[in-house]
Amino acid sequence: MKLLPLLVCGLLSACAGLPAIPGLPAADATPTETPAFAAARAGGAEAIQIGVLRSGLSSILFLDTFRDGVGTWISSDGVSIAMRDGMMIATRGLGGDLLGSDVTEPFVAITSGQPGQVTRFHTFLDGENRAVRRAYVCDITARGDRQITLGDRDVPVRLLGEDCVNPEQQFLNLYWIDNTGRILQSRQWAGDFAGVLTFRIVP
Amino acid sequence: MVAAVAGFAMPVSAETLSFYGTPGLMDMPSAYVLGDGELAMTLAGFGPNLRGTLAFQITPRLTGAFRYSWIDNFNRDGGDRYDRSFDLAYQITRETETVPAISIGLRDFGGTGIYSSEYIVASKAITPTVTVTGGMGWGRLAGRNAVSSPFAFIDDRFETRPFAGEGGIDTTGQVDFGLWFRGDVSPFGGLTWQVSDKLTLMAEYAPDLYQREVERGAAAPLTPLNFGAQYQFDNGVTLGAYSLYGNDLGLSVNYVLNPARARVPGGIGVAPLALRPRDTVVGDSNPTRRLSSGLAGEGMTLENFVVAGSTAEIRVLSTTFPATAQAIGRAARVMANTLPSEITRFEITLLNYGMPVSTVAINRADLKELEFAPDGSWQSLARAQISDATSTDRAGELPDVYPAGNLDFGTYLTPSLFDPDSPLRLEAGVKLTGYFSPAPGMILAGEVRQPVYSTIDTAIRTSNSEIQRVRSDAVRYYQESELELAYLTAEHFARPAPDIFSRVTVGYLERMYGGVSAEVLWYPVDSRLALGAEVNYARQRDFDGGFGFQDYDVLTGHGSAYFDMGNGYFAQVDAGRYLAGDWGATFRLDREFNNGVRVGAFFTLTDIPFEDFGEGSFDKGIIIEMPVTWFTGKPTQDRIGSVVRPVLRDGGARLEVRNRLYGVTRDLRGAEISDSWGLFWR
Repeated sequence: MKLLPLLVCGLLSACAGLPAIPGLPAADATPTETPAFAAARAGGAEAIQIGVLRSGLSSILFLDTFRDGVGTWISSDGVSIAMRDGMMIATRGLGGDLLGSDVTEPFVAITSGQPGQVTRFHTFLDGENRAVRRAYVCDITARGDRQITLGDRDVPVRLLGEDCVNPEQQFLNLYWIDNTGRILQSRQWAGDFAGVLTFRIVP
Repeated sequence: MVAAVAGFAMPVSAETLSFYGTPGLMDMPSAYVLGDGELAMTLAGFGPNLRGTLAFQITPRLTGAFRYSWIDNFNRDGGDRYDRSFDLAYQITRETETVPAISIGLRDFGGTGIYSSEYIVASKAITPTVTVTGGMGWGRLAGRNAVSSPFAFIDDRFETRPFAGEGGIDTTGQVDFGLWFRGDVSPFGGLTWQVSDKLTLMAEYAPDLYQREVERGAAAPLTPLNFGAQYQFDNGVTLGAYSLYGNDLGLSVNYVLNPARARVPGGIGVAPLALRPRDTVVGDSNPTRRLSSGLAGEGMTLENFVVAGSTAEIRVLSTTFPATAQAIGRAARVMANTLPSEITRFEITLLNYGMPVSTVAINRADLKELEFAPDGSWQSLARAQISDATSTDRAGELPDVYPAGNLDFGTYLTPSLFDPDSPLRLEAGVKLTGYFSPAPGMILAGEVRQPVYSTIDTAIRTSNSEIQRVRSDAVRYYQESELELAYLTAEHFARPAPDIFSRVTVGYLERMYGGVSAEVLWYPVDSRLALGAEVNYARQRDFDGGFGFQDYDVLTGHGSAYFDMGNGYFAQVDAGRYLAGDWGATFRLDREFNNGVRVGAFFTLTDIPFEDFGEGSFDKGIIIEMPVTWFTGKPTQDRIGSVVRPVLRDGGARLEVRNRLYGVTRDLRGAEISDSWGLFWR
């Protein structure tokens, strides 16, 4: 279950035909499982299923650290994704990483099931090692009741959409919420480079 | 997008590149520019002409290009001509709704003069997909329908153009100020039509008569009308096919690279370990071992560990992360996950060649507060203190760090460019590289090479230099050696005073010289300016690459000023005495992107007259360097690239000492650390 090589191949022109540079290691060389991942798996850590929409691939990530309400989930090849109550707030190692976020407003609106307009803030890493801040205006809409399957159980959920724009970018996040307000499943945008990630809790 | 909003016509995609590899139509230039900082590589050929060009958008309006051309049967003796040329173009006005883009250009202003020409050109989009270009060309461009100079009313001098190649091969490379914009002019122009995102069609009127080529047997142009099509593939490669001058088919391929856009922004290396909650950090009484192995996992060697009250200082050598800020971020997290909670402040000192260079101080509480904060990058930089490293004693040194050493077996590839008989020669082989460091700053290092395959050996051109052959015999070193000693030196690096660095190197300094080299550098941590001085005694080594020396020796040295101009531009001036005993100065300007991509150019003027220097008239060249991580996204400090000189001769030649201090320290000083601070949390 390797998240990274697949993502890179899905996103980069490197796989689309630019001439290879002799002597350079291939970008998709198979990395070995990181020690942190092996330890988390052996220790029976909590798991989450994360997919990359563009490549259509998914992987199981384990909870490595939980501090001040933020969980850091790690993949076998060294990517980490930080989440607060089911909302993604940071990525490390996907490329064009999401360095940090303020998603307080959308979190409150979504978990309380309240449609309306909110703002969210992201900071991304650009190709010149700079942190670039972006603010978005988002419309939260209720999209009706759904049913999703977790393990062998069908769970009734409400689907909420979050349509975000700024002058340069736009994206749609979706959240499947149970009746306690918990995000069971979601798709959330991780930036121009990584694109949309999908999340689903592993019961 | 802006154009669509404003409602006037503006081309929607990147500019088309001409056969000369600069923005233009086919054989004619346009007034457009590349995107700022972009590098365009073009290979284009038709008839007997093949041109390879590297163009660089030096500033948003200034475009520079270096070209290597191959013209079949151009030489008087019937041989092929390999020719190097440089271009510069400046965009005077930007295109607006009413005003066209206007550029002024110099083509081949310092080469052998085959392409020597100047132009003024205007370009304007008349619909969102159609552009019109029209201009006037001097020199080579003044062929068909030439009229007398429009500048003749200023001065009669403008009416005639002296012959560029007048002084023969020895005057090539001189900047031909005396020729510019003199003599007849011809009009030129053309149209491009962007049919789709990928396909562009073009037509042009090209007055170039290819006179010199025709004199040497090439077919004469039948018409001035050229037609072509360019197709851009998804991966960015553009292919073009053309009908040129009524009797030739042309092909071109080009690729435009934006150095600011690394393939993977920030890289895809393994994520840092997240900061652990306080109660899970086991503070043991002697955390050195865990600290050392944690840092080793991040590609850092822990050399010293000192605790004073609530402050812990580590001194580390980072050999993996290309940006210092990333290494600091990783080191700080290892400290936070290892050290007991009484320690509230971390000081991370970065070492290079055993010298403590800079210290970054970080409050432990800030780390925890800002790890995923929306503005954590800027806030963590604002709260960190970057200062000159002051701790030069060996306090807290880990017992197993010194003596240090390493032996590495590897391969090498040395290209030799632009031999007129064969433009690309190379030598490949195996090498054994090693170092031994008995104490901080003391390094014995050496490299032995064994060539396995070489086409440099077969070069038959020998130096015709009329001055001391301090570099022009370089090929003999390849030809007359088998197993060779590339270098073998004892070096001492030190910090004699705050903001001052020093280096002494003794031994076989480089392939061609041995001797003694001493250098000092003044470089305050936050300064844009650094000043250095270097004195060397050098003696020429034997051609066979062994331990022997030849008779020639020289006292050489330079005073250097390094200036960070901001926005990624760096200037450097080295003034002093060169290897042939000539006095002069080297001027260098680099544009460097935060991700480490560097494009630069330099020239050296000394008291050796142009005619004694020989071909090229004076030493000059360009520098291109790219970090390997730009391509792969993996964290590594390896870089590829090199200095490209059109010709290597004996005037203005500098000793090539390894590890000059500015290069050793700059990435670890204040401006470079803060410029890449986005990687601190990566």
